[in-house]
Amino acid sequence: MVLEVVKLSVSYDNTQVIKEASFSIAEGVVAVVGPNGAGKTTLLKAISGLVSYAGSLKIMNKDLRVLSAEERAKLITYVPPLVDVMPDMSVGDLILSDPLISKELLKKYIELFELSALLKRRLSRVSSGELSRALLAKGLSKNSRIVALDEPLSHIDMRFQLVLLKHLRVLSKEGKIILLASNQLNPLLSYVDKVIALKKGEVVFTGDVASFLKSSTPEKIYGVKFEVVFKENYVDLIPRELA
Amino acid sequence: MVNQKIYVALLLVVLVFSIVSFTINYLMINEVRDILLKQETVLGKVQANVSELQESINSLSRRVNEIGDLVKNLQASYEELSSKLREVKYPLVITDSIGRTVYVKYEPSRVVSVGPSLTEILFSLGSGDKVVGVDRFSNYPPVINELIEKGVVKVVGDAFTLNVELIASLRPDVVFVTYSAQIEKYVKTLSDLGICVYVVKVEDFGDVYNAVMSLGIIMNKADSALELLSNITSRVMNTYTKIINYLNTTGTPKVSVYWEIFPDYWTLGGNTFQNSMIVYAGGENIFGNTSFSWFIASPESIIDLNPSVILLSYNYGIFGTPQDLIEMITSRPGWSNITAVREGRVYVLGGIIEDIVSRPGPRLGLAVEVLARILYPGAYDITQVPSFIDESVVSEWGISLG
Amino acid sequence: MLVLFFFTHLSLGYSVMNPVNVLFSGVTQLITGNLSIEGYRVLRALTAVTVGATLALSGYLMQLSTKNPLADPYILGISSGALFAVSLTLSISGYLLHPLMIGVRTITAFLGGLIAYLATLFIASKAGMSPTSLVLAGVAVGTFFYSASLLPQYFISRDIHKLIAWSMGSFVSPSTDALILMTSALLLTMSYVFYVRHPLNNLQVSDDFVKQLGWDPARLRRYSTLLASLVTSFTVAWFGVIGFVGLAAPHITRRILKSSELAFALPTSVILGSTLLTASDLLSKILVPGVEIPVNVIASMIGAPVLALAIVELKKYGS
Repeated sequence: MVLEVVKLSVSYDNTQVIKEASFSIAEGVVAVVGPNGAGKTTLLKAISGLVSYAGSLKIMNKDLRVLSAEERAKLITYVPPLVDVMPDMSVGDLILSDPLISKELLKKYIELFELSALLKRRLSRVSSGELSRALLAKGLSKNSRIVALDEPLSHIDMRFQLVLLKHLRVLSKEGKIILLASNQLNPLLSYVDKVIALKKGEVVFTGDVASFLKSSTPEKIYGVKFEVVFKENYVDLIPRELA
Repeated sequence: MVNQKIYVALLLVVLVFSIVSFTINYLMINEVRDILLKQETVLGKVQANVSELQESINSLSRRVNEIGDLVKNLQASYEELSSKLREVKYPLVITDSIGRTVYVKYEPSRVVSVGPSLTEILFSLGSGDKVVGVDRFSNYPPVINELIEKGVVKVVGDAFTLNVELIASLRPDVVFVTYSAQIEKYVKTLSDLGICVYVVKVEDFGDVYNAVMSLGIIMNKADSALELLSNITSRVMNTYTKIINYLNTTGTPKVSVYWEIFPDYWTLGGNTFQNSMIVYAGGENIFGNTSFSWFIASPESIIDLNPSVILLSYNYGIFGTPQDLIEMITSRPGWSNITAVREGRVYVLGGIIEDIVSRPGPRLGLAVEVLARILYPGAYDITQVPSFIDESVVSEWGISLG
Repeated sequence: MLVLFFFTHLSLGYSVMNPVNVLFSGVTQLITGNLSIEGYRVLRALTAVTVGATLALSGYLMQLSTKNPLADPYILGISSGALFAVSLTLSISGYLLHPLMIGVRTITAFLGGLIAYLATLFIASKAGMSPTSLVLAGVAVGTFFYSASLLPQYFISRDIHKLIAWSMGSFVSPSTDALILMTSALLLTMSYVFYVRHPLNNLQVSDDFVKQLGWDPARLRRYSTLLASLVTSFTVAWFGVIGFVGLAAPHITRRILKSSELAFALPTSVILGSTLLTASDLLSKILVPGVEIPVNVIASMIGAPVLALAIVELKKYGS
């Protein structure tokens, strides 16, 4: 098991945001889904070592708590959807501000996410999608074993969504584990192996995509009746009516 | 050559001056008594006369700052003044230093003074018994402190923060205020309360003359005012002529002075009363040509201008002696080459003397006399001027502080 | 550019001198302790350079910690604290602004600034030590101390213009002790900054990134602002409140470099700060012969247009 989570709990200000979550992941691209406020971001941050937690968290059999920053950085990276930056920063500055980035990988990602023209642009003048892409390039260039992407699809356009999702599959084949929290389930579900569903801080489902779609979980956690479409190469989950 | 002429002219001035002032005084006293007895009020005529009077006073003030024309103009102004003064009666309409028109309905019997110079002037005019309120810094004449303790006189604040209610409760007939940027709002408040306020600027020599005259007129002490002015003028002129004489006969060069009124390097420029004091004491302010009044001087320029005497008119603090202060000042970089430092002519003015030379008021003549002795001890047969000069030193020199 | 201004500063004064001469004899004088004009000029020029560098560095650190491009070294209340301390002490003993009291005055101002900073830190840490909490706490504390400083001023009204002059800042009396202390403080801060350059870079971006590098962003903010406040309090204690350099230098740097990469931006900003302040002090000396214009006035006149530009920029950002 690469990632083992046992009874993980996180509290902010006396409210439990994650309640005893347990799951394990050996490989593949995993979608972390759930309604707003379910705790998707918190879960990803906890796994990345950014918030304090109760319970057990092991990556490659090493307890996260005893790892040094460099060791942890090699194992897991968290990528936020957007950031608040100082207005004068340039895109290039944003991407480069990390000593643990691999320069060759970065070049590759700049090309992949078409950022070369934007490097000198100030962050105050780029769109949210462009910022998102820059953050993705930065995060992925760290080449860690596990990548935790928080809402990466929300701002980028459809073309880059596909570019990203296809690339994630490639990374997965190379042995990386990708965790992806998202509100958007299409076309996401067509590119992931597993789904972890959260509701009000609790893990209510772990399993493959097909099982997820056939279960009542989507309706239960979103409060929406869906139409499920199964095709050979893709699936669609279409919200139809309020439940 | 020119020096000689001025010297002679000034001697004549003093002579004529003394005669004129005596005559005026004599005439004035009689005239004023007549006026008081008759109690006539011709408003329009008085207004016109008083404003002409004001103009004469202002022109007098302007001229006082120029030594050269002192002679003729003083004489002329005084003659103008004396004729006008005979017709001054209440109610008065008089313009103050900031251009406000002030109405003084009758002779004031209760007066508040905000400003140590103004207090000194009032007492010198003989109106001290009318003072019911003073500012925090009024400390001369010494009787004031007793009066405050007894509660006869109340302390109303200072030129930056006035206790308006207290002033109002004293029911003053007129409030004299030294001008400062912060005072304007208080002036408005007091006027709105129906209190008569007269604002006085005291920044240079001429201002002092103006102030004495104006206060004299308002308090119905015009004769005392003239007497006071002529006293000041004669003291100043006596000193000045004595020094000029001394310089000419002994061939002593004029002494250049750097006067630091506050650390670090705060000094005075041309249009200040302190500058005039130096000039009348026969000296020269190294920054006398600067049009700034009070400013921070560049240390290098002080070194370059090489004063022969350095005056420090701030106290030496509670942690040191005057010697400590002098040592600190003289060890400033490059200052060891200044003439004043090499010759040991660095003086600290303390105690009452610090007040006297820092206050534009009736003791100007006294201040000039003190300065003259510091700058030219030889003219007064003083063998050694001590580094620290306070009232004890000055009385040893035979100057009365009273 | 800095070198240019430095040498001009050395050569001009009340009289024009050969700057190289001034430099050599000045340094000799400083070493022997026997100062004349050359020594004074060198000391003063060096002081301007050091203080400019310190303020620029401090300003940059403050901007990073508060994620606010309009922060300056005094944003956490230091200048108000120092002003309060000095006016309070002045009201007790009118001799405080006296040359013999320079030791006491320096300590007073320093303590005042430091206390204000600690108060801000305390409030901010209660609010989570986020950039916004720092700024708001700084404003609260600064305003409090500023208003508090007005009260003792009632009691010292006769000397009030002297208090104002002190607070305006001036290099007219540089001291060797001050220079040595300031330089060491500056070097200390610079080595700290070098040590934390990576997480500091990320502080500009996101706290999460800082954490991923293994640093605690709150602690980083605390140490950065502490050091920045310390060195700023030094400058205020000796030279009064000198504004705009701390704000303008980092700002101009970011605009001309088009990059926020601290490895370049910080040294540039430091040099820029030195240059600005040296130039200002130079003008201070020579603008009106014989008269010293407080350096703060000149620095403000240069800095105000820069601030205006910055505000326009901020509007485009939409905040």
